[in-house]
Amino acid sequence: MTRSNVAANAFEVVIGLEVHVHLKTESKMFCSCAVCYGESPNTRTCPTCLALPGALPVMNAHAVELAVRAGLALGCEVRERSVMARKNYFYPDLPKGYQISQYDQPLNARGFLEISVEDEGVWTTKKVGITRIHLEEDAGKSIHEDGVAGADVSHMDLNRSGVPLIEIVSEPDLRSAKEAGAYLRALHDVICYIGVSDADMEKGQFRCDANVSLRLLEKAGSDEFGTRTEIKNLNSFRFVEEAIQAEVKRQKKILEQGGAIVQATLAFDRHAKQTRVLRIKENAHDYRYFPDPDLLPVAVDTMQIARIRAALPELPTQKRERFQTQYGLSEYDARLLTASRELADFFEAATKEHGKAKSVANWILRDLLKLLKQHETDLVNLALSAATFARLIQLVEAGKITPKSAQEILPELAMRGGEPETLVAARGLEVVQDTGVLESAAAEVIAANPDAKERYLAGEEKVLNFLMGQVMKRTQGKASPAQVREFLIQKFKE
Amino acid sequence: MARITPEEIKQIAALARLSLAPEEVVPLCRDLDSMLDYVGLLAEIDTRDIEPTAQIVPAASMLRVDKAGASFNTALALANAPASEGAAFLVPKVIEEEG
Amino acid sequence: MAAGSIPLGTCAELRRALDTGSVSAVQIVETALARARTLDPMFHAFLGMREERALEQAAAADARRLRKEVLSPLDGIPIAIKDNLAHAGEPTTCASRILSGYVSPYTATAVARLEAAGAVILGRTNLDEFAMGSSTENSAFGPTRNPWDRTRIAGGSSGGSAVAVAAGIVPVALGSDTGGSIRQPAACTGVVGLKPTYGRVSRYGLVAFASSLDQIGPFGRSVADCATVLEVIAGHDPKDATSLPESTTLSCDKWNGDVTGIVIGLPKEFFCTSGLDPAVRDRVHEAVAHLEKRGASVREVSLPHTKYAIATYYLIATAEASSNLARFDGVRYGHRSAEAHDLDTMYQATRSEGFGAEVKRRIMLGTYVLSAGYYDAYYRKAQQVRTLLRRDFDQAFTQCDLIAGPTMPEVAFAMGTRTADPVTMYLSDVYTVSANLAGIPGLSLPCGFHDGMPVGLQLLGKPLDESTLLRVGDAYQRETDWHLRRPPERTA
Repeated sequence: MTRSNVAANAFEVVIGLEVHVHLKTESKMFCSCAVCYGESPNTRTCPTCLALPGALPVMNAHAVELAVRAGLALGCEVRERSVMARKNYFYPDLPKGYQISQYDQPLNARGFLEISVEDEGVWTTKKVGITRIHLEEDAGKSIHEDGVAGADVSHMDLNRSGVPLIEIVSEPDLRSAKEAGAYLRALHDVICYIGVSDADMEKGQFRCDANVSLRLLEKAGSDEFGTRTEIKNLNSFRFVEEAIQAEVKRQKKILEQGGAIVQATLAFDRHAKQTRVLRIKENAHDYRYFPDPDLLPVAVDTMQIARIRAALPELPTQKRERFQTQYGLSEYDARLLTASRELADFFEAATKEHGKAKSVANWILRDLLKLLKQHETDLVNLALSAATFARLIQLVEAGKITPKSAQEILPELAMRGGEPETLVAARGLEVVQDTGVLESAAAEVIAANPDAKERYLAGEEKVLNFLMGQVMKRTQGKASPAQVREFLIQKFKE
Repeated sequence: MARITPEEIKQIAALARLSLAPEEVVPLCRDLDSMLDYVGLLAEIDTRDIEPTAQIVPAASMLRVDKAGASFNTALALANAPASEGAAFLVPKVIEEEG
Repeated sequence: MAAGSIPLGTCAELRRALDTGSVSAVQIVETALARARTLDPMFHAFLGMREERALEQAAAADARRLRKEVLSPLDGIPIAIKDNLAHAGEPTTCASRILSGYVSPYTATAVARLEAAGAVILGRTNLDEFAMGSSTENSAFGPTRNPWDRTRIAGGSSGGSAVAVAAGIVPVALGSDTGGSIRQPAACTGVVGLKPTYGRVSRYGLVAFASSLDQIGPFGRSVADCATVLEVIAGHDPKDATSLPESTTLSCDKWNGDVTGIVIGLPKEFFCTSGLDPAVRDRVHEAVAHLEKRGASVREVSLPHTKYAIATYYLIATAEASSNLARFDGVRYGHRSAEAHDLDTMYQATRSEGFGAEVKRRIMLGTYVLSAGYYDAYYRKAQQVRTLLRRDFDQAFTQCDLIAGPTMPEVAFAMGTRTADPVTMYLSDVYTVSANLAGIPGLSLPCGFHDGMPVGLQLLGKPLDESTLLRVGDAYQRETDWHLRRPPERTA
């Protein structure tokens, strides 16, 4: 087979992701300026993050702790002495002319993340290697004057300069855009679960660069890789998948036409759904890393590592497996319920209150998630406690209200709070217990439909359903359907 | 010792963001050559298995407690700026987005 | 006699005069300012004076003295600071055009501690641009001249501070020492200069040349004055991650000139250096003999890697400098080229216009030795040799309490004679750079004259043992009067 006519499917896609995550600290990495989002420009700077002559960095202890936590959650080996290094390059958003990062001795190395990928309803799991997780600082931001035609200046805001980051570098283990998306979501889940970052992608707290290359299928599994390109700054799960798809398509086309891939940095145009070359990587990009003499090695002792490890919360995969065994949930339901730590906690608290996991799970998956979707909100924004939610389900199961009534008051409880019992009473939603009321309603309905009895007795079941609907209507839905049914059958038999 | 070529001098100058006048290149080649010749003296020492010393202080890094403190106000932050506009530093147009 | 014609005495003398009320801090500062006005046009030790603020601070010191609220032994004493130390509201130029127009919005820890002790910051002193040099000829604002002979160098890079003290304008001054920049000009001008242990004095606010080597230290006429200043500026600083936690207790009041039991090591390598002037060697031997008379004993020691020190130093210092000076980019402060129409031109034109020749040379060398393919051969190699140099001292200090030798191989040389060849200029630091590489304290003090110029004796101590160094230096000064000699005064 010659290079010029390789079939489109003869390539293996190889993807590695580099993810930058803002650490959830009060102050910056090397100075005490507050970390903030959306403040007006240059309101959070000091000699250190402005790189004034003579200013020095002093490392934030909490940033180190959070980075270790991330390393442990992702199965890394934590280095007891890691080295901060200077990465030298000029850029207006980089005040010192170098970024303080880690190079040959990063804090965390050799971890992994297990991901699950769904293909036509079948879930397969895969272990993705994590090369390293290192500490570094963010740069400032250039504010581009969109809309100013021909503007030949940029504005520089240094509020973000020095905000603590971890960079999580994966092995080139991902084989499709879908896998890359799954990895990124799983990573996002873990980062949020362990509380090291708010990981708000819109605020740039969780940013992804993707390295993409293709190689001939016959090279699959070898150490030989194709020339890779790097797509910068992908700030949503969807863009990551779309950008990779677009880039794979672009590279395939080049290779199929007998061309060669040029190592380059790319941007993703989300509107055109195309990748665009920003610059060709030359060897001139020489960062001249060396240990930062202003900062001594970062020491983390075994005691500290043990303490951080012990305090790690249960991770998403562990929780999912436990939900399956402990509560007898299906993998699918367990997956949905562990999608966020808040939801999983809510489920467990409600179950504890209520007693039966399956019915709590059903109510959450059927009604609560629908509600969240409708209102485009998150669980944390609701005024609904797990205990209240459990009591609402109990009211239904005790026959005190109908499921329909429960669904009717759930939005009110969720948005405004309150007690289900009070709301049921106020709206008069108690199931009609008075048999007299039911009896007379049944009698009225039968009287209004004289042929009903005959048709039912002749075996026409749906007549019963119709009459039941009529009774429910007369009782404004507050009657127990089972009870109404029983009454009607009794009447027919009389 | 290796001689530094004018091409190399230009590459290093580009990395260091220094522009050299044509007449500066040759003298700089000569100076750097003489400096490199001199430091080449170190090659005669056997340093196998010798740990490098990056910092003389034996301790590990001192860390700060994560507590937010005061920052400069915008006027003070921009007070020394050769060019600013509104609340921001002003620079010639930044063409590409760096990661 | 006109005000300002009498050179200021030592801090100790001024303090006694203040205590007895025979003089006020305002009068002292007026004298210092008047002397600067008369003498500095000849020497160019200063880049800027703070007349008004200095007099205000002096008046405040006098008021405190009246209320018996004296802050420290330096309260009301004028001091000059090298112009690479940040001082809020004042320019910090580093003698470079690239910092033109820059006014520091914050204060270096060492300077803040001086002010908190009541010292009066009189002005900013000249230096080789960004402290890169050994003669103070590399200042963008013109060289500083030696008061003993105006055709000779003042030494560098803290030449301005050394001359400010030597000329009797201030009793004490601050400098910074990366490879000898305090000790070498002290030797050139006949004053005392101390480079403390690395980490002893916070570097916060000292504009970095080579971060792993830089250290702030005092100049004075007497060792005791240097000790007084060190006690004020030393100590842990949470703003400098490399500052040491140890406290600084010098117990100066217990010094009595007795050095019985002290073992002085004389490194054989220091005395067989090819460039060593025999007259300088003789002065150093005489000084050591004085100390023996006071009870010290002497033995030969070895620092086998001495001949590699300068090469090691230049590799490490230039590598760090190339990165430290990247922040001077014309974006946030200082000079920006008028040609700055696009980003690359802004950087290149700004930096090329802003930096002087020696600074550019060092940035180039530093960039080269860190670049891909050369890191291991040069930078990493130098770090390894640094380890060996440090071990040399560890080994030597098992046999002696301190090391003595010349501060520089000759007396101050004529201006303009070494500027053409950078390497010959670097060789004048042969005895001083090792202390920076090993992080140990070093003291230079005057020990006689040759050719009408002062000769410097250097004492090197164990890490954090400034106390022994200063006690022995003080003992020497009790025995001799070299430090009391003053350059002849002429007016311009």
